Amino acid sequence: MDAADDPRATGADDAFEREVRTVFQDTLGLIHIALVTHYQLGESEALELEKDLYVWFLRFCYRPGNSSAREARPFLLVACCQFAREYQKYLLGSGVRSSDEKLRRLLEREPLDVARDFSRSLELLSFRSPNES
Amino acid sequence: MSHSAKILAFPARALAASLSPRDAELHARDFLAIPVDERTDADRESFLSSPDVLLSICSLLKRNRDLAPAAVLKEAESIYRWISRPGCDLGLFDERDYFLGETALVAGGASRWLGKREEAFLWLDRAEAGFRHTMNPAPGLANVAYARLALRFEMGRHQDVLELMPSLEASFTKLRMDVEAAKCRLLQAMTLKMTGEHSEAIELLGGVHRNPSLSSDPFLRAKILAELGDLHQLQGQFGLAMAAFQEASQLLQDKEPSPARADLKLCVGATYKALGSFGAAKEAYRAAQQEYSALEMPGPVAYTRLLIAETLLEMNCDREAEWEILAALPTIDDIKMVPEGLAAMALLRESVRKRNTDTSALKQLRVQLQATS
Repeated sequence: MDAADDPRATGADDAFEREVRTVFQDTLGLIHIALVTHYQLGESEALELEKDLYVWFLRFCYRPGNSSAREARPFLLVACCQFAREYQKYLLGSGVRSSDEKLRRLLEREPLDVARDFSRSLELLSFRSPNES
Repeated sequence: MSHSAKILAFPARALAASLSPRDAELHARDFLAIPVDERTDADRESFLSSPDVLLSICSLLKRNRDLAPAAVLKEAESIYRWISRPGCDLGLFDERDYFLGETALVAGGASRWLGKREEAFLWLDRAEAGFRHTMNPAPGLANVAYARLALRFEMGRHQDVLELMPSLEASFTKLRMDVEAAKCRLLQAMTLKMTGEHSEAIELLGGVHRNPSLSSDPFLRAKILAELGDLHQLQGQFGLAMAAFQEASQLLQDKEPSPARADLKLCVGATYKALGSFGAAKEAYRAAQQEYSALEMPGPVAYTRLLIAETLLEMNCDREAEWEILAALPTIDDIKMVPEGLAAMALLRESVRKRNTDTSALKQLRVQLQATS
């Protein structure tokens, strides 16, 4: 998605929203891989889910107890896996789409566990970028 | 129906539309400006279906919870009922559960201020049920745990509070919720005051009000200073007490009535009384009572009346003291107290009926009520 088109960018909470948007954009590559490669969503479906994820993540970061958007990234990945799982289950259940063994096994796993694997990738990214917090 | 039409039916696109925080707050204020009783389902549908507006409403309600608890309880309950109705499809992912948790937590806090303990516990159970299903339940659940300990404090369960509060403070610190961590420390100090461990309480509170994270919360800073001052006066350190009260008073200048300002007046009254200035003590207590009345907090109003009665007895104004006690008793009747409190109330009621106020029963009842206030 192109978060730069978001009209919120001119609002009073600019700095905070910029931080959230930056973190989201930094994580978007991983999210896209999770949705398309692992959960086997189509490109257009993934783009739609990414828009929802951004809107949700922005509001999530406003909740009390979220000290920074960067530290909230693992929750973004859990939300990504959960929504992709529910979406695919819906499609499989309604007979619109058929499943292969790999997808079936992934859908049996808890989104939290799948996201944990992706979070390890985030840790690796942080390790490689010493300027990141 | 084509396959693509089926695919589009799943994500509800309209729900993802977002408002800027400023616009959301304007909508939230518009919604809250409509009297609860005059709101239509169309109003609720129009405003509450936006998570941005709900986020803003929750923030406004939390800000006003201590200043207008009765109104906030009514609002929070009404919004909770709307969100919890069957078939309500709100927001994305976990947002419905989150808002159920938030509105129930606000309602629980407001119920506590209003002395409705049973209701408060039920609201906190509801809040926990909501937060448990959210993506990041820890902050919400920690806030619920704090509210439950505050209720236990009011019920005189001081050892429970002293046992559990350090762990909760550590949780808030880990979550980097510094304001909430400071509130834990304040409640722990207030509990130590109740158990007579004044020096430990002073040590615990020392410097907390200077924590930079509290700079935007003058009410909390003032409350901490008022408690610190009260602890100093209990130790006979009247100079330090007055200095703390002065600093607290400056923080609350030009502010609307608040529990913090009423508590401060109560502490000032206690200091005057300890110094033997009964007239000034009575005036300070009366000012506190008026402030609690304005905030619709019946428990503290009754407690303050007993303080005034004790002061009037010191001034040999027995008849006026009886009036204060008689005015307080109906409210105290509504508060669930431990058996010692009930016994003291029966003794006091009987002694007032006989026009010979039992001062030790009065003191005992006041002590039982102190935590509630």
